[in-house]
Amino acid sequence: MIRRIIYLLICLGFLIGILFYAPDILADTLDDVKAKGVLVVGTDATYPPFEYADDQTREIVGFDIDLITAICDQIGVQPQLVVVPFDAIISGLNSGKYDCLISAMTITPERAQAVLFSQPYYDAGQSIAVPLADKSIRSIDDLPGKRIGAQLGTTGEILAREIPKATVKSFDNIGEAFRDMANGNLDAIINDKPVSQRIIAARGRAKLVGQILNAERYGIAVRKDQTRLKKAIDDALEELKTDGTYANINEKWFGSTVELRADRNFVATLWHILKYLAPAVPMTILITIASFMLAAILGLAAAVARISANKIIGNISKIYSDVVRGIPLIVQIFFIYFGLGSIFHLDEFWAGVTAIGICYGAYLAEIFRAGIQAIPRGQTEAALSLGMSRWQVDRHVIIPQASRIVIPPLANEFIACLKDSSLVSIIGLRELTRAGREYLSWSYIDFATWLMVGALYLMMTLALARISRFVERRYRIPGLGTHNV
Amino acid sequence: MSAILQVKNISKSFGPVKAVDNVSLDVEKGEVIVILGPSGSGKSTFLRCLNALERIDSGQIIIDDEILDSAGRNVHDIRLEVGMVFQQFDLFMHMNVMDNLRLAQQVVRKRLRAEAEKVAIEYLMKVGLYDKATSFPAYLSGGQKQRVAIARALCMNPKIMLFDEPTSALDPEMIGEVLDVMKNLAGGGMTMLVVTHEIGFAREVANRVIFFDAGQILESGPTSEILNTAKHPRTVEFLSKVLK
Repeated sequence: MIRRIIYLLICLGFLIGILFYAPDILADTLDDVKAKGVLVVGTDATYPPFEYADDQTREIVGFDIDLITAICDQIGVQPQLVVVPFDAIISGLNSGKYDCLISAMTITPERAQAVLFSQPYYDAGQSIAVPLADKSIRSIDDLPGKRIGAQLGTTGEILAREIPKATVKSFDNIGEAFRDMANGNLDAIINDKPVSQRIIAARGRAKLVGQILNAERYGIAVRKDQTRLKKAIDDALEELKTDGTYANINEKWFGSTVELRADRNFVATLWHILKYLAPAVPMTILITIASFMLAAILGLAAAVARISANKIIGNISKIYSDVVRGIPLIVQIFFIYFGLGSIFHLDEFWAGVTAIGICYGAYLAEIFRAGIQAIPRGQTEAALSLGMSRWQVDRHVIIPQASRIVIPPLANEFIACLKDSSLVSIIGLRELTRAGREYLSWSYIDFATWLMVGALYLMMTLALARISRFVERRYRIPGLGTHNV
Repeated sequence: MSAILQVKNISKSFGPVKAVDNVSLDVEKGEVIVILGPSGSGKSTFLRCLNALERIDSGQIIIDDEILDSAGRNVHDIRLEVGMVFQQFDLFMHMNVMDNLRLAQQVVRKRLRAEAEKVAIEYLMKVGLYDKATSFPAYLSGGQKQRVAIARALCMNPKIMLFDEPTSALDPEMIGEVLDVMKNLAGGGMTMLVVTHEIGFAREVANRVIFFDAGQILESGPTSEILNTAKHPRTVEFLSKVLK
């Protein structure tokens, strides 16, 4: 919605320019179009399902494209698509780059000053979605006191909050709201109609009820002087609505046969998700390793400080452990990214690594301390009595034994760290969990997406567990702890 | 004969407890001294002071002209002269027998690996465990561990050997093999201080017996004299219990 408002402002800017440079040199082109047999159409191919580039074929497809193609059929010409950014689309039309534009453009009085709109071809706006079986909610008047879902920061959320006594629950991704409603936690969802329609088409279990709120109607635009072309388009549109073509196109893009469901079986869907997620796996591994290295350094330092005879150093280490272990990691990530990050200019990667590193350092400190203290005092005394220096004792006797003791708990922490790296997705770092959320944001396939995200984590953690067992076995002290391995 | 070890008025406290209270002792080269006393009498602490595992609060320890005092400056040199065997053996659990014997020779004495191995083999043969060179400590019996620990200390060529209750943690049937090694060592002229309750060993090997009580030497003298005709009632009481 905010995007739309920005576009509107930009369009207003163009409008002022256009008012001064009214393009009266361009004559009505209907005859030219018919003579050439080609209608040049401008569109901004970034707004599924109206117009977007197919992720496989790269062809521009969508509701608008099918509709304008059908209109061209009616007029008896071929469409020729020109892709233009939305903010330049009106000036492109008025400078004669194309004959008309179709781009999910809402008809507004401001735009109507600059261009000539066809009859509305699509009613958009906010819609109310309710569970399929629901009979109590028929319009916005039935919503007071209900539990309403919306997408964070959207018009839908603003509308929902205006409803008296309603409990509003906001989601990062509207797909999650539909899942929540299916699970019985919401009574209704207020959201962009086309998007809701698409989600319902993709997986059912909900329906749209009542009038459209904040109605927006989409129109095809031509230059102001092209009244004959506009008339031709309107006539064609009228014809398509009566002969059932419009209904077919509507069914194709918003009906029950949406591409995501129709084109792929479950295995193919999983494969598609896997291909999308796989490139994010190295980032998960990278952030885990970087965090864990930082944690190991901090942990070792804190463990040594804790054991040291110096009371002040020991207490600093103790405070570090207590504070860090007493605060949820997600809060630490927020604190470091938004708090310290603004002072030290940490990007999301380093903020994430720092937060996880500091957090895990506190846990590793306890493991290292326990490992070192698990070595009997006699080992140190025996080594000292042989004339070894403190450092030689640590180097040859204590560390080799302590490091073997800490391998299993250290491996556990590493696995936990890998899983916790998913938390940095909240500050926007594109690792595995984030990639999953991204995929979900446009596919609305939640079960399969989380299944694959989970499976990828599981593959990594199982591999780590195996490596850990191997290392443990490889380096175990002969005759000790054999029953554990 | 000059004393190889001179202990002059050493004291050691743990908080308010005087574990070693103004103790003096001269030990001649080749002498074997058995230290007796009830538990908590300070005899182990006394022994541990001699190789600086406990830093003395006051007094002096002179070993072969090296002086150790409360400042603890000569700790390293003193430890090179003194070998110690502990109740719990304290073999390095992550190393096999050969590596246990080699480690300090190489990192402290700076011997080459081959040389250290030669020395190790020599002492392993002496304690009768050459065939265990590649075994790990966890696979040895208590008696074998203690014999390895003795060999490990001997590899450093100490002038004095300290034994802190070397047989207390052993099953009875294994005590003999360790005492045999110690007897051989004494027979070879090693200067030894042994904290033990093995009166039989004392009778057979020791030149002198020292009786410790409350951090002090209560009684000291030739073995037979102390064991048979102790004067002090505490000594008599202790011996009567041990010999029962």
